[in-house]
Amino acid sequence: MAQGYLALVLHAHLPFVRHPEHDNFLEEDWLFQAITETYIPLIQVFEGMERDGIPFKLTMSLTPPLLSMLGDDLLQKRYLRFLDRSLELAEKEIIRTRTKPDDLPLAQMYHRKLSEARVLFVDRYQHNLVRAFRNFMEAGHLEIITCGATHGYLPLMNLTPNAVRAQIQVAVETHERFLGVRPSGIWLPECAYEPGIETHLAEAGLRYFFLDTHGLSYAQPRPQYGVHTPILCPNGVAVFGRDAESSRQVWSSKEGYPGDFDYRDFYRDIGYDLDHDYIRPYIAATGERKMTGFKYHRITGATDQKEPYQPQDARSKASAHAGDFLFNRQRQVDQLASAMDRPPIIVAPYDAELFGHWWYEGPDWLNFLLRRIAADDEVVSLITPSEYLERHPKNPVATPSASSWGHNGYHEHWLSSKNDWIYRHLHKAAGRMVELAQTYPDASGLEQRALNQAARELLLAQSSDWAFIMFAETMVEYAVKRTKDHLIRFTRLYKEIRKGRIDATWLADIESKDNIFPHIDYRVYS
Amino acid sequence: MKREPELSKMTKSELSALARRKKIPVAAGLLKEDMVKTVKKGLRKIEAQKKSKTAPAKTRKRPTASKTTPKSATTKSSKSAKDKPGARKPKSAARKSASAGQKQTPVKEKARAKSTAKKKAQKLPAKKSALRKLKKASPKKAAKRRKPSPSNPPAIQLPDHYGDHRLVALPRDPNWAYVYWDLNPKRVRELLKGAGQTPGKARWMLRVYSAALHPVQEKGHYFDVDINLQGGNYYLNLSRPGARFIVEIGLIDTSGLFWPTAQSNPVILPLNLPSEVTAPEGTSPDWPDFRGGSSFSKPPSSRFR
Repeated sequence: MAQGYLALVLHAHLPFVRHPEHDNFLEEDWLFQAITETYIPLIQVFEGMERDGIPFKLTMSLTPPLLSMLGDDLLQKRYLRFLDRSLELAEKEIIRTRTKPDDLPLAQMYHRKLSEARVLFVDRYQHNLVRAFRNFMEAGHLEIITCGATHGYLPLMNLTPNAVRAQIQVAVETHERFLGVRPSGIWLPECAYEPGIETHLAEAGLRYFFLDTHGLSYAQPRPQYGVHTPILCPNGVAVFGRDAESSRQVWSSKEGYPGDFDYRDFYRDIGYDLDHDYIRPYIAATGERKMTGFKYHRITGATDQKEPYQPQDARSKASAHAGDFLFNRQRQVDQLASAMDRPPIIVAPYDAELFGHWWYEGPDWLNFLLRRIAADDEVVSLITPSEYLERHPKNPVATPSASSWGHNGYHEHWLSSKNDWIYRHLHKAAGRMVELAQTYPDASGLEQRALNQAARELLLAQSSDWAFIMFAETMVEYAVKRTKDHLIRFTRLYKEIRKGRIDATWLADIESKDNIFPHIDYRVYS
Repeated sequence: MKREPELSKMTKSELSALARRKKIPVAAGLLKEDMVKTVKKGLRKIEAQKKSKTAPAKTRKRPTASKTTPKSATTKSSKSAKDKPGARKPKSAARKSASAGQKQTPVKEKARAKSTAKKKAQKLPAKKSALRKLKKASPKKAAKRRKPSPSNPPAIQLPDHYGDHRLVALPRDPNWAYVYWDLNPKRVRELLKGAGQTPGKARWMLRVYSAALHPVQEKGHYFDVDINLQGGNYYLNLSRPGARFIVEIGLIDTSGLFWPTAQSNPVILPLNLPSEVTAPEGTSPDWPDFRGGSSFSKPPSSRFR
């Protein structure tokens, strides 16, 4: 038996972006790029492990918006179109780079990978990648957990407890619809917590959640072993804390692996580098340049003079980094175990999209790491939170500290002068939704549809992604528009329901656009 | 062809200015070489149009190009912010990998995003004035366009205030809390009248009570903060991690008496230090088997039909 455990947790989430009203919509690329660069490569890693008979255990959150998008017919069709367009570009790239010995092998590599992705997406999983993740879950390799229904920032909506409750209940029920089982745990959106949220989790049957390091180390009273055992909230829901050291090795700008000079540079992309006329069919319909996923340079260093990317060197580096990561975890467990009366657990959570999309070699690193651990598990073995709690049910009882995993560890990313205007509207809408649910407990027909749609619009407006984008000043226009659109739709529905004059044509239109949670029942707010 | 070397020597802002002068639509966020090409193309088009105007009517090209250009420019402008490189990822992967990959070149991306925003800001007045002209030219048409129909009622905007008469407090971090207020104008008038104050001259305050955790009603010590009522919100530097506060909004009359009109929800700041007390041990409660089995054989909950 190993001296300690490593719980790798991948948080897979994208906001719900689906615009049937436009034939091409740039923000839908977020999903398409993540499928090509992250989800399919991860599935390929898991398939490889299974094929080689190597045991592995991972925890993965698949958020309700992501599940909904992966299972959506329109987005599946559009992804295939995106993939085929990328394949077409790959073919052109092979021709364009035929006299460039540095670039040609890379163009061929992209063509091969895209072709394999197509086979996986179309032939193996019939356009629905949820099936793939579900297979690994049913085989016992993945423990899939849920998240807020639309990744709503719970501590900032807690003024209306029913709104928090709805985020949790709708998430659990959506999870069950897509994956056939209720989740045992939850990744709180942005790891954001304040005392009391665990009540809603227990009510939904959720057994555990995760917090950033200080959520546990500042818990009241102080847990003896910090984040290296879970704690139990007074109501029995367990909390696992992020291990700072293992996080730093992957996330840190100074010590983190993804910034290694041999790894592929994210920003140099032919969408920006090549002649406009050549690249025109593969960028935005407006002619504006965008990322294509075809990149030929390595990070090289703090310079604009980027050197050619060498996949073999990068792969060797990924292997070395996996070895380094395991070595450090073994050393860490060795030290911790000697000072503890039970095996320590190291919880290492990462955004899933870091692997492949941002850190191109991330899936390789994970592959090497999983295989190394399987071959050398005397000191550290992989575990999921459920398994840990089954083996070690006795843990410190404490109330975690309010916290998040954002910059500085609290709520300032989501509550700042750049985005604080949203809260008066979100709070108002949440209050109105509760009022509607309580006023119309037995609605049917058109009224019921309008009430359900109002719930969808509120949930979509609450997505923490919009506030984050406003703070980060990236796609502010889109984030503001989404927040306002959903709030305005909600407000109009509220007024129409209250007046008893529901515009059926308009309702059908927004039902077709914001079609997330088709089976939602607005009474979740009552 | 003569213009080509000149254009390539121009800076991006010079190219933008030229494009504006000549009414050539240039999408925001283009690289310089793309801008050169676009402007060059535009100039050729203008030349061709000039020539076609002098040609006989039968061979004249359709004169719609110049009319449609402002429209397409607007479209491009409104979509241009959608794909700021490096910015297109709205989630924590974006922020964290950006820091993880600092050795890369995020600054360049930021600069592109900024220039896009700047160009958009420049285009806005032109769009507005075009709209005004349209309305002036055909008021009946514009009125017809605005006329509500069952499926197209007048556009709803988010109000600045709802008039609920409430004060809300949210914790931001161990030191700061955010409060916003939404006061009912009628009740504000009544308060002013009661306190003998005139609207423009009243001194509005937030009174911040350091409240004990229990009981809820006990307010304890307080301090006051002057506010601009129209501002609608305020960040309070409380600097007491773990402490609980209640805030009131009101005005101070000439005798120094505080006239509260709304009270916030209690707000507790997050902690930033470990507790000195060690937690006792407890045992996880019995939970159903979450990974399949009997508890999941039942049909999905009745909430989802």
